[in-house]
Amino acid sequence: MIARSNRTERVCAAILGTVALLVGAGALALHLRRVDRPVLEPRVLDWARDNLLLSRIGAIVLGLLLIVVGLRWAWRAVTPEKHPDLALEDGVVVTSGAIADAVKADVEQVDGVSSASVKVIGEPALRMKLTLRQGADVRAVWQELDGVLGRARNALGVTVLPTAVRLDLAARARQRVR
Amino acid sequence: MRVLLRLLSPFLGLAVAGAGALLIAEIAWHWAGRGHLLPRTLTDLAWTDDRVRVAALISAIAGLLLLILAMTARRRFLRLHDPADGVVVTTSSTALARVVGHRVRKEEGVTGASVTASKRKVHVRATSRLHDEATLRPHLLQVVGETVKGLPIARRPKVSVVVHSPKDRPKHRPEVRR
Repeated sequence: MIARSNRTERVCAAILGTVALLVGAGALALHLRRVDRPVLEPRVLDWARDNLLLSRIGAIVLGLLLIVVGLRWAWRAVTPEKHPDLALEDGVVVTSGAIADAVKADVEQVDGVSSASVKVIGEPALRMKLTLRQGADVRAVWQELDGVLGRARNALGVTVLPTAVRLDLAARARQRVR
Repeated sequence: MRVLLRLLSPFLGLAVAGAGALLIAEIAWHWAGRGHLLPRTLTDLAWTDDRVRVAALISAIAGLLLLILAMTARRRFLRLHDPADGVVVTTSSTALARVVGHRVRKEEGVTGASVTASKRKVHVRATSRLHDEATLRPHLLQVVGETVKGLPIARRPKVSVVVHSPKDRPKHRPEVRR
């Protein structure tokens, strides 16, 4: 099964890395140029003392932002992905496993698809990996996908069904030794 | 790299949140008129201090590593055209290479082929005992071009073909001097 996107982690790490790199490089440049001034610049401190309320509020907002971003980053990394059930009208709940199995059974009927794995990753959103047989007509399978997802949309009674599809082409068929 | 980013993310996230909490605690402490929470060494520390160099180097190197990690932890995939709204279809460059490889090996006169594929380029190295490069190469270029064109790839990669054939070796080999 393809893994979920790690964009949040990557963006957070990139921002933190850039900040650390710029701060480090800047401090190193000032050190090498032998700038004989305190690290906490007195002019900046004086300005902060003159605008005490503003700088305090600014610092608290920055602190809150760091807490929120940091906790979300850590939380996202440690929690497993959710596979939410879908609540229909009249209190009927379709479990995520049922949706995934139904779509999997449907998509495996498509000519050229040898196996499929489907996961529900949103309310409703799908991620699936299709393994195509060697010599399968990729364009035909690709066109058929809309039909499969259209049936899923109709069955679930939704107008949009965001889906990420990964095609594994021309995979070698498993051979069983007897 | 993806695993490393996943493992580091909780710690980095908690560190960022901790820095934010420390900042707010310091401001709150000072606001309440209880002096400073953090030690006051920074006011006495000048840019010329050796500790600044060490800290700056550590920060710059750690930032650079984090940036590289964030850049390399992405999954590389080939984007196909979207068959419907909200549906994203991708495949891997290995899968593309497999498809092209199967197609090339099917051609008459090709004894073997190795294919490397990326987002931008498909490179085929074919070997043939029957044909020389001049006759086989244009044909293979056409076949590979059609195969790639047959796939609904969003940005079509360039195709290059090299043919190795014993027929292309010089017939009159210069005598080896002893």
